[in-house]
Amino acid sequence: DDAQALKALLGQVKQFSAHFQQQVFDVEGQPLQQASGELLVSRPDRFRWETKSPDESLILSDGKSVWFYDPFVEQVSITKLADAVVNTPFLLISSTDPSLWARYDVLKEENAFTVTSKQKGQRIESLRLIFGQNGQLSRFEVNETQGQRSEFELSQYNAQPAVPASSFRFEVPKGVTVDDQR
Amino acid sequence: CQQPVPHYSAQQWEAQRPKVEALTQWSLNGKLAIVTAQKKGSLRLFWQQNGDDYRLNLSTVLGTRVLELSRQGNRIRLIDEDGKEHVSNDPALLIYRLTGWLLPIDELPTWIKGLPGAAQYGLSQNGQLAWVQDNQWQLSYQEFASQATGQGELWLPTRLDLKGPDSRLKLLINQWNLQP
Repeated sequence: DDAQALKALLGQVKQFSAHFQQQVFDVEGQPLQQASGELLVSRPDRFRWETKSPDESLILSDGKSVWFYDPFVEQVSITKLADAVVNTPFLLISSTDPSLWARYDVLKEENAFTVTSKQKGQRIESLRLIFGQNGQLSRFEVNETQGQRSEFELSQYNAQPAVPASSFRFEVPKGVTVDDQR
Repeated sequence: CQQPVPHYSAQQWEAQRPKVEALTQWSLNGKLAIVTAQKKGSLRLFWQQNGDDYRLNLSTVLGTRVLELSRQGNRIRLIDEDGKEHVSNDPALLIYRLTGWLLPIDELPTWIKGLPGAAQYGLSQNGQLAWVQDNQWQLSYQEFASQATGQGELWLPTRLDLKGPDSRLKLLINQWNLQP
């Protein structure tokens, strides 16, 4: 079915890195925010989403917890992986956990898949994943229930990225507050 | 893009003041940090000003909306994180009641342009606006950057700290859009 097709496509690549360009649109489609940075995914469950411009932030999953580092307030917030999935669609992209996938409906239209949460009232209504002819993830969109939309355009896709051991570990810099919500 | 140059001459700040006061249509993209004793966090800020009307959108890094406050004429509307709409004629009280955040909504459109409005203010030795203070808020201007406009260059703030009764705000302005 469509979910199997999506998981097969995502599963083709154990690790990938890409540059992302993010555009956020409001309910009427007016652009609100722009950002760009680097994304590194290592299945299962590990990813590194580093925003570099116009300002910095880092969301990193080590496979068990998700670390959200916000240099602007010198704080890192830590949540359990399972709790983070509600607001971090990257986990879906990197997850192979059948029980997680069972909570979502998947609809395929040519090379685009719409992933919708079966539970109503979620912050994120649906996630759209678009693949290029080569089967590589080229774009994904986060559609919020209230209507805002965030589009991530991927480029410089690399299916054999260098993955130093420290990629999915977060060293808390001096002076940074740790907000451990686990 | 902007070239943050550390200082510029006193005459420039005084000289450009009428032009900054005449700037009533603008928008900006940046980040707002809110630090209280209990909690701290930051959100992406999009702010559009048109005369006295404004629209303030606060979103997460993921792009999900946390809050939207808008004013058209005397109708002030706030949409909260769950999409519920609240109407009031006191925006600062409305935001405080819903989020616990104290924000000087009425004064910010003036202060954010680097104008003191009715508050006391002081200049640094090189003549740049350094601080602004009223009975509740104390602002310190960390950085200005030159913006190109139809009538030449304007120096507008890009980093601003606000100390309030029980919270501290940090504003980082990544982009000024002066011809919306």
